[in-house]
This record gives sequence, structure tokens and C-alpha cells, in this order.
Amino acid sequence: MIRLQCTRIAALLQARAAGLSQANALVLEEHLAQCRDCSEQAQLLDGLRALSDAGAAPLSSGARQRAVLQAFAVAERPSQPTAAGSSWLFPSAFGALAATAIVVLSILRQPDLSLRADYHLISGSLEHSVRAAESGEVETAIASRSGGVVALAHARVEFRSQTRAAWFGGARVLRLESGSVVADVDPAQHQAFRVDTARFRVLVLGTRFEVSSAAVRVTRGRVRVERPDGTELAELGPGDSYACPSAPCQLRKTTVVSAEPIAASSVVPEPPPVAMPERSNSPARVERQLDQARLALAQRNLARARELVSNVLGEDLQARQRAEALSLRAESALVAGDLSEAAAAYRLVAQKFANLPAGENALFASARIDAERLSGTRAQAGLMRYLLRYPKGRFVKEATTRLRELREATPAP
Amino acid sequence: MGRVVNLAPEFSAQELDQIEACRKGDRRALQAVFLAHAPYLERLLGRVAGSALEVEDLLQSTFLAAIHAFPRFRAEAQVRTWLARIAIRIAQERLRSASHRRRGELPDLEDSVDPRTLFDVSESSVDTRRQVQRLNHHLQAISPKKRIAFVLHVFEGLPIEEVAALTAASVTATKSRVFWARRELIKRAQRDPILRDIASEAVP
Repeated sequence: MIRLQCTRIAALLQARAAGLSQANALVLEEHLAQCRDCSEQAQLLDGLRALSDAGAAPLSSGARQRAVLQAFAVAERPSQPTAAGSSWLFPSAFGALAATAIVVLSILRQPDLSLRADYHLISGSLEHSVRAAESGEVETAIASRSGGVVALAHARVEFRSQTRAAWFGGARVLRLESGSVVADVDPAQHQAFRVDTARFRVLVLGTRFEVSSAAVRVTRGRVRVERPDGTELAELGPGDSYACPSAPCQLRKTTVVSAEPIAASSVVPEPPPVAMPERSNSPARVERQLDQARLALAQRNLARARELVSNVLGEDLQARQRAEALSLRAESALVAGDLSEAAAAYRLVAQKFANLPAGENALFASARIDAERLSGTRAQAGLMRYLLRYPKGRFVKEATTRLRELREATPAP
Repeated sequence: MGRVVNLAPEFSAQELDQIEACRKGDRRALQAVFLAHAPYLERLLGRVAGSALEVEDLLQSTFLAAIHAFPRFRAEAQVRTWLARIAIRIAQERLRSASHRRRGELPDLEDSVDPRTLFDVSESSVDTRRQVQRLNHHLQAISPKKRIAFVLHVFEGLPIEEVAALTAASVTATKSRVFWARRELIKRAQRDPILRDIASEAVP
């Protein structure tokens, strides 16, 4: 049964630096004494780790100090627009000139920063500044006074005049704050692009469409319009438009043939701020609780993680959120070392949410737990089920390899 | 290496005062916090990026992001963990960007490295440096997501759940990334004439 153990030993070898329990350390030691392949791999990994330690040379104190000072210098450059309403969009002529000069200078002095934000000005004049969201994600505030065109990731986005938005390059999300934009998304990239407004959001793979705070119109391709909580409002094709002049959005889908821009006076009345009262089970609150549960799990604070998950499960949830909460419950059991409970919890997620990524994740995780518990037959059945259900899944390669190893390790009947 | 990231949000009164000052943008407090955590962040970024030149740049971006984000820091994690999360996020974004891929091979020697580490020019140190370069070369060939999960877990010794939290991925996905990165790196190292013998050498 040496080969079967090797799959488990690989995980222990990887986890050695993070620390093993005494029992696992003994299992590993015994196995390494018998298995030449694993022993060689262990020595090689040790050698590579020692090399990595040797290579992780500290910066000189000068370089470190320079990094800190330059960060302050960039942060203190007065190119950041303040979030104060219209006074920011309509500064005095002198202020506008000065702000433009500062922005141009700051772009010239830190060209890499704009690259990092995935922002490339194509034409027109747009003001932009880069800041970091709390998550560390780069957020680019973009403002247009008289219009301009910019490349954002794989999309070419035309900003109409008096438009303000924030671009999150990592998630490929443009949050429209006022005005309207025309987005032309390259379908060849096969990557999602989203425009969020306060009332709805528009998901797209490759198309051309125009979005204002209150309406969206599609010129080419297909887009999906959702409420901010992710529930679908409409799916639009070429020539379709969707208007949401008041909150909450009422489904009012119309087909238009005109190619004129969405007129500011007709479809795009500058909307009053949309009040989004936070209900006790609002999606934002649920997401926050799930984030906190994830954090508690990372801290190995299992009691807190379980409490948060139980709270969330008592709410009225979307399928994705319920799947996520149940997966976190399974992960809590996994971290606690209760593999039977973890496998059972994963199987439940796999069964209930087979069409969601969490379901796929869970089916593979339960099979892997079975493999690590040396339950070969059950692990093989689980991996087979995974491969049949998700022939193009994310873990196909690993499932195939593990299945082959398990089969090789199991003596023929 | 042991566990180096402490996620438990327990702060002393002094730390809380310092965090409050950082939230208000007090430059001296920010500088003290950054310099205190810089060695840890450098090591983390060094493992991920594999080049001191990149490390300095990534460190600067991390501090810049932290300056902007500090007013919204909710003290739900230790400052070091929070900074590490920002650093990893920034490194991930940078490594994914096309501009990084275009840069190609890394330089052998960077001026940002502590000069004290360069005084020793014995044959063995040259060999080690060459081996480190080969290791970095092979790590660069592994996709950023897998590489980051692997170096944090296997080299840096962070528990898999912490790696998952730092990289905003599920535990299962993180395990999978580590699994594939390990296989790929072992396969490459075994084929590399400079690295394949390190298993039999006594690496310090």
C-alpha cells in the first residue's frame, strides 16, 4: 500500500514547513524510511526551500527607506480628486489648468502606476487618479468634463461629457457614478466586463453598449442586466434597451432602433441618490458575514467561524451564498480535523449545488478527503463522479492524476 | 520557518494608539509601522517575485496602497496580516500583467540587495547564487496563482488556510494550486543539472 500512501504523504511533505502534528510527523517519517521516491522528493524540497531562504535577501536599509519615502511622495501628490460633488467637476479655469497639469505631470512621473491600473487614455481629456480600496485592489477614479475615450482592460470605453466613474482593474468592474459611457468589449478575450450603477449592473462578454445611471442600450452582442444583489432583470440583444428611471427598478424593456446617444433630457434624468436601506438579511451584510467567517477560519477561530456560518444560514439567502456558507462549514470541519464531517458536508454542497462553482469545488474536495483518509474505493468513486459531472472542470487534471494513482495502488481483484 | 503570520486581532493599547494615528494619516506613525513590517513583507515579496528590484517596487506599491486604505482599516486582522494581504494582491496583479511577462529574464545582481550579502564571493556562494537563480527561473515558469500559493505554504510555512485567506481563494483551490506547483517544480528541478543534485548536498 506504499503507493496509496504516497498521495497523502505529498500533502504532508508540503505542509512540513507550516508544522505537522506529532502523529502526522511520525507517519511521514515512517513512510520516508520505506519509500525511496518520496524520500528523494523530500530531500529535493528541503534543498529548494533552503535555496529560497538563501535567495530571499533583505533590501538594504537605503532601499527600504526609499520605498517608504516614495510611497509618501506619491500619496501626497495633489492629483487626487476629492469626492466632493460638482465643485470637483467644475473647477475654475485656473484650477482646471492646474489640475490637468498636475495630473499630466503625475502620469509622466509614474507611468507604471497607470499601467497597474489597466488604464490607457486613447483620446479626449479625462482626469484620473489611482487609489487603493481597503482590500488593496487598485481603484482608478475617472472623470470626464467634455468626453474622452479610454482603454480599460479589454474594453474601449467612451466617456460622455460630465461623467464620473471608478474602475477596478482586478475585477474588471466599472462603477458608474454619474453621466453615461459607451463600452466596446473585445469578445476575443473571453473575459467578463461589468458596469455597475446604483440601480443595476450590466454583465457582458463581448459587445457594444451604452450605460447611464438609469438606462442601458445594446448596439452589438448580448448583455445581462442584474439588480445590485445579482438577481437578473433582463437580457438584452442588439437594439434592445432597458430603462430604470426610478428605484427600485421596474422591468421596462424596450427595443429601439435609433443610434443616437441616450439623451440626457429623456432617458437619463440625473437620478436622485438612490436610498438602499440595508435590511437585516441584505446581500451586503451576508457577504460581510461570510468574509468574517472566512477570516475567522483563517485565524483558526473555529467557534467564531461556525457561529457566523450558522447566523448566515438562518437568513434568506441566494443559492450562491448558501453554497458558500455550507462550504465554509465543511472547511471548518476540515480545519478542526474532523474529516468525516468535512466530507459529509462537502457531499451535501456537491449534491445541492451541482450547477454552481461551489458544488464542483465540494465534489472534488470530498473525493480528495476520501483519498487522504485512505478510503481508496470511495475516493475513486468520488473522483469518477467528478470527472463525469464536470468533464471540463477546474480540477480535471488533478482528479485524473489522483484517480490513476489510486488505481495503480489498488491491487487488481 | 514556522508560522509567521499571526492573524489573531489582539492589540495592545500602544498598538491601538498607533493604528488610530495611522488611520488619521499621521506620517510618523505610518512610517514606524511600515519600517517595522518591511523585513517580513520583503521576505514575502522576495519569495513571490524572486528579484530584489521587483521587491522594492512592490514594497513601495504596498505602502502606497496601505496609506490610502488605512482610514478604512477595521482592525479585524493584525496590521502585518493586512499589509501582507495587500502585498500579495499587488504582487498577483503585477505578475498577471502583460508588462511583467514582457520583462523576461531577471537580472543576476541587483543594486538594491544589501551589499553585506555581496562581500562573500567564495566559490560556494557563487554556486548558491547560481542555484537561487535557477530556482527563481523555474518558479517564474509556474503560473502566478500556483507559484504564490506554493511559496507561501511550502517555503514560507504558512498554513494552507492562511494562504487561502491571503490569496482570496478557497482552501480546496489553494491545495490544488500547491499540489500542481510542487509537481511542476520538482519535475523541473529534477531535469535541471544545476539543481538536481541539491538533494544530496548539505544545503545550509
